[in-house]
Formats: sequence, C-alpha cells, structure tokens
Amino acid sequence: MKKLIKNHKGTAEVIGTMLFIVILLFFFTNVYLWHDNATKDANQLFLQKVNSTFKIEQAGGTIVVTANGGSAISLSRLWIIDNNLGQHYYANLNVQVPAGETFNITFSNTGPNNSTLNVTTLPNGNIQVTYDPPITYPVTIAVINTLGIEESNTFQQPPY
Amino acid sequence: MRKLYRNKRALSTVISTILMIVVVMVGMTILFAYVTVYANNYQTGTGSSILESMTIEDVWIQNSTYVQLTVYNTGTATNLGTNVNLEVAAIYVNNTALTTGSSSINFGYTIYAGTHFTIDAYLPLPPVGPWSAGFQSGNTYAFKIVTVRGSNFELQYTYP
Repeated sequence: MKKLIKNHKGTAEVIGTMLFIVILLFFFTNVYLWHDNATKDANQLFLQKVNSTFKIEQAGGTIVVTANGGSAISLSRLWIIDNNLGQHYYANLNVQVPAGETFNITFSNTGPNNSTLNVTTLPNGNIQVTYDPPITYPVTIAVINTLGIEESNTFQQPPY
Repeated sequence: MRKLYRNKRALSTVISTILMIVVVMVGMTILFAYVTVYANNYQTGTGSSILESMTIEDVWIQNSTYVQLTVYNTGTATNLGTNVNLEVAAIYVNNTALTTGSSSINFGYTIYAGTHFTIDAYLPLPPVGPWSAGFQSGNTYAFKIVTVRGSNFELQYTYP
C-alpha cells in the first residue's frame, strides 16, 4: 500500500480523466436540470388547467361565464357559431374572472356581422358584443381562456 | 546560450508534452462545442416539445374539401415562464394528411406564443377511398396537428 502511494506514475492521467468526467457531468447535468425544470413548468400548466375550469350559461339576454375552478381565469376569445348558416364569428376578449365569480356578456344587435365581432366594455365592467343573431337557431357559443380551455353551449333561443 | 541550443536532450519530452497539450485542447474544444450545440439544439428543439401547448379552438368546414382550423398557442411566458413558439409541420384528419391547397402537406406556419391563427387546409385531390365524397355532415372527424418538434394536438369534431 505504501509503495502504491509513493508511486506517482499515472497520476496525471487519473486527474485528467477525473476532470474530463467532471466537465462532461457538468454539461449533461445542465441539460438534465433544464429538462427537469421544463417538465415542472409543463406540469404546472396542467395543474393550472385543472384548477381553471369555467362554465357558460344563458340567463335571459346574457351569457354568464362562471369561474367554478379554484383559480381565476382569463378569457381570450368568444366564438359564435351559427349552425344553420354555417357561419363562425369571434370576438377577442381580454377579461379576468376571479375564482368563484361570474362575468356577463351581453349582445347588441346592431350588425351586420363581420367575422370579427366588436367588443365594448360596459361601465359595470362587463362586455357587450355586437352581434346580430340569426332568425333561426340553434347557435353555439364557445369561450376559450388563455390556458386553452374551451367551453361551449348551444342555445335554442337568441340571447336577448 | 549556444550550449543550450545545441543540447538536444529531453527535446522529445518537451515536444511530446506540447503535442499532448495541443491534442487535449483541441479534443476538449471539439467536445465543448459538441455538447454546447447539443444542449442548445435539445433545449430549442425536441426538448421543448413538452412545453408546447396549443388548442384547436375552432373547426370550420367550408365545403366538402376545405376546412379552416383556428388554433391558439397557449405556451406563453405567463403560463410557462417562457414563450414557446411552435411550427405546424402537418395536419391530419382521420389519419389522412391535409394539404396547403397545392399538393404540399408541409404547412410550416409559425404560431407565436399567445396568438390565435387560422389555417386553411384541404383534402388531397383527387378525392379517393373514404374521402370520395369529402367532408360529410353528421360525420365525426379526428383532426391532428403535428408540430416540427413532434407534439400532437388532437380534436374530435362532429360536422353538424
């Protein structure tokens, strides 16, 4: 053992190899840590989606969006699909709905309808969409939030 | 000084050491470049596929061979900590590749994070086999969008 310790032959090779392995480990650890972090971000997005559910209902002339998940939701776009005419219209939204709260979308029939519908923010914070409803129904109304969750409902009567 | 120049002893040792250092430096430089490029390619390429997040928010069948798909890239900095743009490679309906209108099945559209994007897609012509009548009302179609990084985003849609 003493002889082995005193013998310094090959020390450089051992140190060199160790350094080489350490440098390699450093680089691949970076890749692994990045991947691990990316996976966590993706999982976090999935959890956000699970907690950001909402529903849309019709209450008289109003479409009511209720954030019934544990998190606030941010609405991105409203789609109106006229099933009879086969027309699709959308309105861009930029609306936050706190968890458990509701948000009202009303309509103003001052058409004609363009593929992009106009949106007006009302003094009470709700929005009004310019949309001239069809004579015959049903119409499917869908709302998509910024997490990509889309909810839709088909209405047999005009939302007025 | 002259004596030193004439003395050739240990010359091979010095040259071999220099050679060894040069070889190691070149080797490590190549390795460093490879690992850096690999890590960078991985992070921006296939590695980021787990961060890709997209929703097919609207399917609008315009006629028996033409469909408009509206997609929403939800891979935003708000949702994931970083903006993840994605590039559409191909679109399938019931495992049949749709085309861009020409005979190409490579769409190549870049969908930027947080944006909605409408894609025009066509059934391949001439219509054959199950597509001889094109899209038909009442049928359910499975749309699949494949990105360059290899992610798949699917939606089942019933043509009303």
